[in-house]
Amino acid sequence: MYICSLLFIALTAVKLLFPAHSAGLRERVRELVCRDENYLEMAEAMGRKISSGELREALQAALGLEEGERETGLESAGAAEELKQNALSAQQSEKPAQTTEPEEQPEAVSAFLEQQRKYAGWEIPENVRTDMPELPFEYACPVSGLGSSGFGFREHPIDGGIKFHYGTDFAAEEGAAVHAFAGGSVYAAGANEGYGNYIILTHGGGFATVYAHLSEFTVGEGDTVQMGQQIGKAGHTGKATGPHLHFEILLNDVYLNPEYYI
Amino acid sequence: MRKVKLQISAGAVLLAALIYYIGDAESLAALLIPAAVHELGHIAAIYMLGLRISGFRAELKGFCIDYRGYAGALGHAAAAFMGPAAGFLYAWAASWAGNRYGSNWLCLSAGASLLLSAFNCLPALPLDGGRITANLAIAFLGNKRGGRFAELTSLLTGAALLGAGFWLMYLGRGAALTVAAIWLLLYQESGQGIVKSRELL
Repeated sequence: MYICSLLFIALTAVKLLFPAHSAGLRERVRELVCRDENYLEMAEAMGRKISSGELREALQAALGLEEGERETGLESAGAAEELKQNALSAQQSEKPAQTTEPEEQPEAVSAFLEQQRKYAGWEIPENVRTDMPELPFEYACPVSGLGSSGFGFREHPIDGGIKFHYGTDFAAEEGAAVHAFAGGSVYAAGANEGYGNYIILTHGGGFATVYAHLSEFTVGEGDTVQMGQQIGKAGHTGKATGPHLHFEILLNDVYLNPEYYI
Repeated sequence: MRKVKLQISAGAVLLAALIYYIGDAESLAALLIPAAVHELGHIAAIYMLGLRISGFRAELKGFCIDYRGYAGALGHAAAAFMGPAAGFLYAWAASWAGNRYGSNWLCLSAGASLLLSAFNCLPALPLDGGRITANLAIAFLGNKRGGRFAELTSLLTGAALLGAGFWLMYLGRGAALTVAAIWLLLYQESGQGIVKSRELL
């Protein structure tokens, strides 16, 4: 009993003194137990559906019996952050992305639009798409963490007031690894007041992804990256209330909802 | 005033240390609150049935409540059922509040509570569902046959869960269900013993 208590104290001390090591171990254990399943996201999506009477849907999601992409159910509410779109458009290819519009509106889109109904008085910005174009490449979640603020209108956590949030925020520990959403190249690795340290990746077909509030970069401009490759570390640089990753997906300078894909 | 014993096993301390080390505080809180609500459901039922809590134990098996007194098979089954019932209620309330106030954490807690409660309702000992089954089976079939029925149900449920766990692993959906099934099979208990033990998990 005493030995176990000492172990408890020792592990607590290690966690508090070396948070990055703890986060790394957690990531390895998560991969071992969960493989490609994120139980926390799954539980959160189920939890969101309980009170709306969509329990059957939630259980299907839990058992993997649903068809198509699972929606993460992240809450939207948000503030717009600015990006260097002009620079991006030069990099993005001239040929339009080969996207296919599904005949029926995907469940994730319906859920997002339903969630945003309370902001009916606000007009969705012109540089935003609420549909779900198919991504013509493989992709993976850029960070291990819970969604803390979703795509869409929200009350801005710093400025106050209802503003559009052009990306999804993932709560992540300071120093947590940030991975490339898909293979591509590093278009920009810079810093500004709002985004703090940010990286922009281009993936071809007019697609680009943005990773903001990073504490460190592990790649440089012009580098080629593979899907899942570490590109930086999560932090709280720029306009942020705490460590998190702000993640955006753009198609020809138009923002897409990342939660449709993650 | 009668004493209520509190026992914490070495294994439970070690398990808590590992969980705390590996998990992040926010997610752990989202999981621990439904667990606490579940136990509060049991405690409320124990008092409502006029029974008496004699102790709490934190073990590798989980958090156990020991109680004394007799409330009939239905009463003991109800005491077992109140844990998951409180969990389902909390899941709905947290989901409603999570959607109403835009809290992902509350939604996570709601989902965790739903999963915890649903798992606890499985008719396998030592889960609450198994205790309900054992109490009712013993009441209707007698000690020996009822106990055997509860043990068989537990074993079949554990085996089915293990099969489902392997199936999900084959589909690449993680090992959580398999781990839960192994835990369940490791802690299989005697049907008669569990009813006599006056213990709630």
